[in-house]
Amino acid sequence: MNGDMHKVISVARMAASLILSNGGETYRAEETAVHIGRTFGFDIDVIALPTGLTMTVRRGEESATSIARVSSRTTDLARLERVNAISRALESREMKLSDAELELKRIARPSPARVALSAAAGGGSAAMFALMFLGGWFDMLAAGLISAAVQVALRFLPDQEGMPLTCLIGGFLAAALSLALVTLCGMGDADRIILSNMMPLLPGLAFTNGIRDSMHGDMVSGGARICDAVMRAVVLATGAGIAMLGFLRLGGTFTWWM
Amino acid sequence: MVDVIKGLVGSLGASAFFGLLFHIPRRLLASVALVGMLGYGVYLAALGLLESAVGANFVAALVVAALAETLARKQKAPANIFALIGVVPLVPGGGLYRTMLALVLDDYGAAVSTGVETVLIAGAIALAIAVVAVLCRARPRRPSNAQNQADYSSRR
Repeated sequence: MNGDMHKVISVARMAASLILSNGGETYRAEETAVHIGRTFGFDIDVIALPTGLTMTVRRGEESATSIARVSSRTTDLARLERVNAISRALESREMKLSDAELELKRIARPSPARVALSAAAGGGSAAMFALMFLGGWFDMLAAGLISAAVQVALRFLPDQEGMPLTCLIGGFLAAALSLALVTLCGMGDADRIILSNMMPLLPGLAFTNGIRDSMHGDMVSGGARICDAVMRAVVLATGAGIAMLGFLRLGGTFTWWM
Repeated sequence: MVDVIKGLVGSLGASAFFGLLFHIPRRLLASVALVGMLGYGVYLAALGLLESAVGANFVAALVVAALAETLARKQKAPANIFALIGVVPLVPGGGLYRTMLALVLDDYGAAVSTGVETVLIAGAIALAIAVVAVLCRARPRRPSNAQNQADYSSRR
């Protein structure tokens, strides 16, 4: 019976920390752990934060406690969806606990860095944003190329997410490369190209998750995530602003404002 | 009219590629892109009717969040996958950029007015997501409440 308890707590902990480290809401991590516990007849108390979680599993007099630190936070929606599917399968008893453990370990394995995919997706989305903002073909092409370049450049930074440095450098590169390209080619709308490049870098995901956490009564995580999103947006704009200020000092002008 | 089509196609593609950037499961790609496009379409329509960017963003985010909850139940996937990507075309990047541009150009008056509008838009989107989250919250907790009540009554 005791071994069973440790298996339950290990599966619940793995599922919850995978949700936290791949862009899920904090309340979802907590609920998933509680559901897994209840399915196997245990009471689980869990406190999840964006940076870690602690949980105690209980049945009668027996109890076990486990703590997990969540040190890397990225957004991988495919992993989120797979963890969700496992939790559903466990609840409907279509999956055994040992199979779930193996599957969760498989999901937790670090995925190979797909630089080409990130570059293509980042470039594609910036190009489509340029179209959405009613840019011409040159704006789309320039936004796509620059955004792909920024995505590749950001891969070489030590920390992918969570560090404001990524936003600062991303914003700076997006604006500096756009202004340089427009000046060199003598065509295109620099405002649109910079804006289209900033869109994929904006922390809309952190913001949305923060609101959803707050609305589920999780004020600590909600507040932290909203704060994180606001800080990143400000830092991103600052990075772009530094490049724009430099451009102005070098004698450039902006068309949008005049 | 051409502008509307450009906006719709752009928001469709932007949401799809944005989804790819964050490793969205392939089976959800099409529906997520459609949520993004519908949200932006509602935004454009509401902007024409209400003539207020804040109000239009609120209505559009309301539609995105409601669609996300519906699709999450239909396709058995976490709702935030749909909400996260669907809301992306609405994120006030333009306002943020114009605020920064005004600051760079030393036009503090314009910076304050665009900055306040940007914050209001972000707040409107937040409020819409919050409203839908609260409305949907009423249902899924039921099994756990039933369980708790059963526990309490057996203890008594």
